[in-house]
Amino acid sequence: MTELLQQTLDGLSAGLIYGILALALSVVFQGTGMLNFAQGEMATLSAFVTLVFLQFGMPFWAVLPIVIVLSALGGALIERTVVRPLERSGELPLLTLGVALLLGINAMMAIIWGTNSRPFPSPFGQGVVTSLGLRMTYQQLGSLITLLAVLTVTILVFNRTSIGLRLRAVAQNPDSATLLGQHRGKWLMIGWGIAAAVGAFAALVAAPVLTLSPGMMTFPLLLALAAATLGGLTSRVGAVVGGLIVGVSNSLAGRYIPGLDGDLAIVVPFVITAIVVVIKPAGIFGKARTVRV
Amino acid sequence: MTGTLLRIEGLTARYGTVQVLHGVDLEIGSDEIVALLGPNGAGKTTLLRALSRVVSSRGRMVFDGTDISSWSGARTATSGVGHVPEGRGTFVDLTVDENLRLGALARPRELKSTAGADLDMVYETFPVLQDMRRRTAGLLSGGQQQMLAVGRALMARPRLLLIDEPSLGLAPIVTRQLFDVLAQIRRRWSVSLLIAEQNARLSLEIADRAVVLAKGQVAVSGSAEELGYGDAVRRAYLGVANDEEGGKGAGR
Amino acid sequence: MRHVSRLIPRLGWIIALGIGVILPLLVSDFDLLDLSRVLTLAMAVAGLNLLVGHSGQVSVGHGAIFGLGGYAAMIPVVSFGWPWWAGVLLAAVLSLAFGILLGIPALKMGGANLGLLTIAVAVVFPLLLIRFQPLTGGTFGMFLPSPAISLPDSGFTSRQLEFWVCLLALAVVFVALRNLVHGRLGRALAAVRTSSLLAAANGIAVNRVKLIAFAVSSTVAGVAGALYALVVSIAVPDSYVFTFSIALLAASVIGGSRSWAGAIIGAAIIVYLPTLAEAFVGGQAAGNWSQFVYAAGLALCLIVAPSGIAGAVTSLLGRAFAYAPMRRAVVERSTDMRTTSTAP
Ligand SMILES: Nc1ncnc2c1ncn2[C@@H]1O[C@H](COP(=O)(O)OP(=O)(O)OP(=O)(O)O)[C@@H](O)[C@H]1O
Ligand SMILES: [Mg+2]
Repeated sequence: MTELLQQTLDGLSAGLIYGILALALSVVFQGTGMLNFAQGEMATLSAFVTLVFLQFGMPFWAVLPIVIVLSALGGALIERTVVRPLERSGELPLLTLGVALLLGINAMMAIIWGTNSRPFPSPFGQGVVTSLGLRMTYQQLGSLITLLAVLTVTILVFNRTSIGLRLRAVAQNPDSATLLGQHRGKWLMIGWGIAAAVGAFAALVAAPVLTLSPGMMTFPLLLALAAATLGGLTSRVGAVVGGLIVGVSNSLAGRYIPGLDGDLAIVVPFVITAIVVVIKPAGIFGKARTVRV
Repeated sequence: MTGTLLRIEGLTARYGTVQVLHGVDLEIGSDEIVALLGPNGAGKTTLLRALSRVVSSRGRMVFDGTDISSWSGARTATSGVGHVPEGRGTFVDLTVDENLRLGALARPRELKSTAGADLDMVYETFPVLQDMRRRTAGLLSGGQQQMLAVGRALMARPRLLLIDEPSLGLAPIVTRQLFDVLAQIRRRWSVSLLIAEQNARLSLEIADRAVVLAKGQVAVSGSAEELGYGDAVRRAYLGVANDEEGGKGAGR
Repeated sequence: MRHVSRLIPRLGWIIALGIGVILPLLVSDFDLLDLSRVLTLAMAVAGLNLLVGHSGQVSVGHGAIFGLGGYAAMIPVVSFGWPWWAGVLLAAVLSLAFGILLGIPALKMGGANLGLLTIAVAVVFPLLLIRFQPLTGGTFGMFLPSPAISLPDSGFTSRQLEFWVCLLALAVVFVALRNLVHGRLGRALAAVRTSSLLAAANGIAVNRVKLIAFAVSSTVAGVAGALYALVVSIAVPDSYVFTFSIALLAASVIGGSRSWAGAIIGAAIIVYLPTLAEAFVGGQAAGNWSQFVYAAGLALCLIVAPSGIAGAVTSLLGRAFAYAPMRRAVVERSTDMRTTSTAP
C-alpha cells in the first residue's frame, strides 16, 4: 500500500512537469493554432542559460528571474520572427515549423555545449523528507511547490486579469478582438512569451534530476503532448490534469505492469490518451468547437 | 444634425484584384442615425470594415476632425469607432460579463474610471444580459448575442457605432425590440449610428437619413422620410440593378 | 504551347531515368551506396508526400514504418536465409497491415491527434526493438554478413545491382503514386483536403479515402525501409529514432510535398547534408551543424518557398514557359486572403 502511494506520489511530481509543459503547449496552441514541438528544447535552452549564469557564481534565486524574463523575450522573439509569417498558412506548415525549431534549437545547444550530460545543482539542496512512510527529496518537494505556484499564477493571470482576458479573446476570435482594439499580433507574441517562461520552469526543476543535456526534454515533451491531447489542448486546466494522469500512469505502469519497466512504460500513457481521444476527440476538458484545424 | 462627426470622400476598397467600393462619399452628423441599405454584395460590410480600418482602402476619412485613413484597426477601435460585426463576433467561450469587460478595454484612457457605471447602464438597457452575466456567451440565443454585441461595443464608449446587419437571423418580433433599443441608444449613450441593414422598412423608421449602396457606389441618399414615403428605396434598389443589368446585356 | 509544356516534365523524367540506368557504370561503388540510399529514402518521402501533400494528413512516425520495413526484411534474410526479394515482400505486407491498423484509430481521432499517434509510434518503436532482443538483435541490431542482392556470375557488383533494383522500385512507386493521384482516388483526396465536410456532402467516403492514402503511404515507406536496410546491410534501433521520423517529414516539406521530384531533392538533402557539413567542420560537430543547417533550411523553405524547392523551381520554370498557370492562380488567391484580413 505504502509503495503504491509512493509510486503515485513520484508519478504526480513527474506529472506536474509534464503538466506545466502541456500548459505551455496549450497557451501556444490556443493562440497560434500550432503544436509547438520545440517547447521542450526552448525550456532546455533556458536551463543551459541558467547554468551559464550559475558558473559566474551568481546565486540560483537571483538568476531565476533573469532567466524567466529572458525566456519570455526569447519566446516572443521566435513568434515575431519565424511564426508570424506562417501564422495563417494552416496546420501543416506550423507543425513543420515546430519540427524545424526543435531540430534547430537542439543542434544549437549541441554545438555550444556538447551532447554530454552535465550535472545541474538542485536549488533546494540535498535531503529527504519522510512522513507516513512516504519519502520525498527536497528537490521533489521544492519542485512540487514551485510548479504549483507557477500553475496558480498562470491560471490566475489567464482567468482573473485583463491580460488574460485579452489573450483569451484574441485566441478565440481574433477578428472580433481587433474591432475591440486588441492587436492580434501583439497578444500572440505575449502568449508565446508566457508559454516560454512557464515552460522554462519545467526544465529548471527537471534538470537536477535528469542532468542537463540538449535532448533532456525530448521525452518529457512527448509526454506533455500526450497530456495536452488527453486533457484537451484548448483547456489550460485540462493540460495540467492530463499531465498528472500521464505522470501517474507512467510511474505505476513502470512499476506494476510486467515487461513495461524502464522507458517502455511510456506506452501506457499514450494508450490511455488514444482511448480517451477516440471517445472524446477534443480531450477530457477540450471544446471541439474552438479547435482550429 | 449638430455637426459632422465623420466624413468620407472617394473611398475605394478592393479584395485582391476585385474592387468592391468605387468611390463612396458619406457624411454622418453627431447623434445621427444613418441607415446603410443595399442589396447583397453591394459592399455594405466592406464599407464598415474599411471605416474600422480592418480592410485596406484608399480615400479620405475624417473622423471628429482627424484623418484616420492611415490608422490601424486597433487604434481606430480605441478612438471612438465601435463596430458590431456581421455575425455578432461573440467570444463564445467567455462569459457574458467577460465579453462586456473586453469591450471596456477599448475605452479611451480618460473614460476608464466610468466603466463600472456604463456596465450597469448596459445591463439596464439589456436586462436579459444581467440575468445571464455568468453564462458562457456561446450558449446565448441569437437575439441575446446580438444584444451582447451591441453592449460590448458600447462599453468602449464609441462616438460612432457601426452595426452590421443586426436583424440577421432574428425573429421579426426580436428585431423590432432590438431596433427600439437602438433608437434609444443614441440619446442615452450620445453616439451616432451607422446601421447596415437589409430590413429597409424598420431601419428607415429609426433612422434620420439613409444611404443606398449599390455595386460599391452610393446610388441614392436622403432623409428617411423622403426615401421611406416615396418608396424611392425600392425604386433605387431595383432601378439601379435593372439599369446596370440591361446595360451589360446590351454590351454582350 | 500547352502540350509542349506538358511534354517538358515527361521528357525530363525519361532523361533522368536514362541517366539513372547508366549511372552505375560510371560512378564508384562507394558513391553508389549513397545514391542507392537517396533512391530508397526518396521512395519513403514520396509515400509521405501522398499523405502530406495530397491528403492533408501528417505522419510524424514514418521513420518507424521505414524501420519496420527494414527489420521485416532483415530478420528473415539474416536469420532464416530468405532471398532478399522475399524479405521485401514481407516488409510490404507487414507495413500495409500496420498502416491499416494505425490508420483506423487515427482517423477516428482526426486532426492534430493523428500527429500525436504517429509520434507515439515513432517514440515507442526503437524501444520495442531493444526489448525484443532475441528477434531483433537488441541494441546492436541486425547485420548482413554479405550483400543480399548479388548475381555472382554477371560481372556486375552488388552495389550496381542494388542501385538498379532501387531505381526500378522508385520508378514503379513514382508511376503508381502519380496514377493514384491523377485518378479517382486523387480527386477524392483533393476534395477531402480542401474540405472534408464538403467532400462528405458530395458522397465521398472520407474515412475510407484517407485510410487508403495512409495504408498506401505506409506500404511504400515499408518497402523503402526494407531496401534501405538491405543496401546498407545493417538495421539498428538508433537509425529509426524520433528525429529520423521528423527528418523524413521535413524532407517532404523542403523538397515540396506535392512534387515527386521534390521527394528526390528531400532525400538527397538527408543523405548528403551531413557529408557536406563534415567537409567544413570535422568530427562530431558535423552532425550538429548539419542538423542546424537542415533546420534553418526547413524554416526558410516554409517561409519563402512554401511549396518546397521543387515547387519553387516549377513555378520559376512555369513563369518562363507559362507552365502550370493553375497552381499560380491558387497561390495568388491565398495570399490575397491574407492581405485583406489585416489592416494596412
Ligand atoms: N474577404 C473577401 N475576399 C474577397 N471578396 C470579398 C470578401 N468579402 C467580400 N467580398 C466581395 O465583396 C463584395 C461586397 O461584399 P460585402 O460583404 O461588403 O457586401 P454586403 O453589402 O455586406 O452584402 P450582404 O448584404 O450580403 O452582407 C461581394 O461581391 C463579395 O463577394
Ligand atoms: Mg454584409
